[in-house]
Amino acid sequence: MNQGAIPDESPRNLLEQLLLENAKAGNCRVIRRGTDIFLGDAPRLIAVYGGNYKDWDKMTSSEAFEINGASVQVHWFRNSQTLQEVEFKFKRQYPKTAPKNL
Amino acid sequence: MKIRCIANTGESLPEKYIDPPRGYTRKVELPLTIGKEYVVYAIREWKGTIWYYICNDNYSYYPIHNPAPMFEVVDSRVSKYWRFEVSPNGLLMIAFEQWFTDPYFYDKLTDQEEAEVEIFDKVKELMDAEDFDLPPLDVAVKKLRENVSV
Repeated sequence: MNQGAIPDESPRNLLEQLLLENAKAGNCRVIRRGTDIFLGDAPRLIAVYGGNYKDWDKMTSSEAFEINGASVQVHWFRNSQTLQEVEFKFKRQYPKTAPKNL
Repeated sequence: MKIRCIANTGESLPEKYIDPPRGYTRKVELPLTIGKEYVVYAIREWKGTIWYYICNDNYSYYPIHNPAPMFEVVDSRVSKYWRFEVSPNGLLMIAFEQWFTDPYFYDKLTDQEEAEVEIFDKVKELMDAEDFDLPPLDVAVKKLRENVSV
């Protein structure tokens, strides 16, 4: 298991860049709240960035773009107390029958 | 259980659902279609707020929670796949079995882990096709009594 910080994932193309910027601009919402049951990543997030178990939520972009045959969203972690946002990553879901190469 | 969307912005939400750090503002617009029906795969209750996990208009591989006041219930029959759990902190969850077998099932599902995505695929297929039709009460009781040995 990774114990350190996970760097932000870079967008692969302009549409992913727009999706990321849109999400960072506030078009986002929570997927998993740390107040429910703390996130599986919470111990690592606390060790790396600080905060408490209940503070760390998992977020998603409000929008999902169709890019090169995949439905793409951005996910990341947000500290609901400090609003620190870390570890942005792209979630690309391909139709089951489609090839997975871009 | 099926619900129909009656609103898709934060304007109509009761105050207790508004939570800006988590993206729920008056201006939030959710990927939901007014008038469209959605199957409910799980329900979450937290401090007087109710959230339905559905496959919204951005659905790709996991259901996401949405505020109950944005919907009306059109089919209140509950799924036979549902289980019920109240956490020590007061969180109430109703969801399919695998959600509870692993406390981090939903974390893994949203992380796009293959096993969990496959499980939800199967659960979704079953719940989407679930047959809620029951025989009339008299017929059901008669059948039961015929099968009960004394």
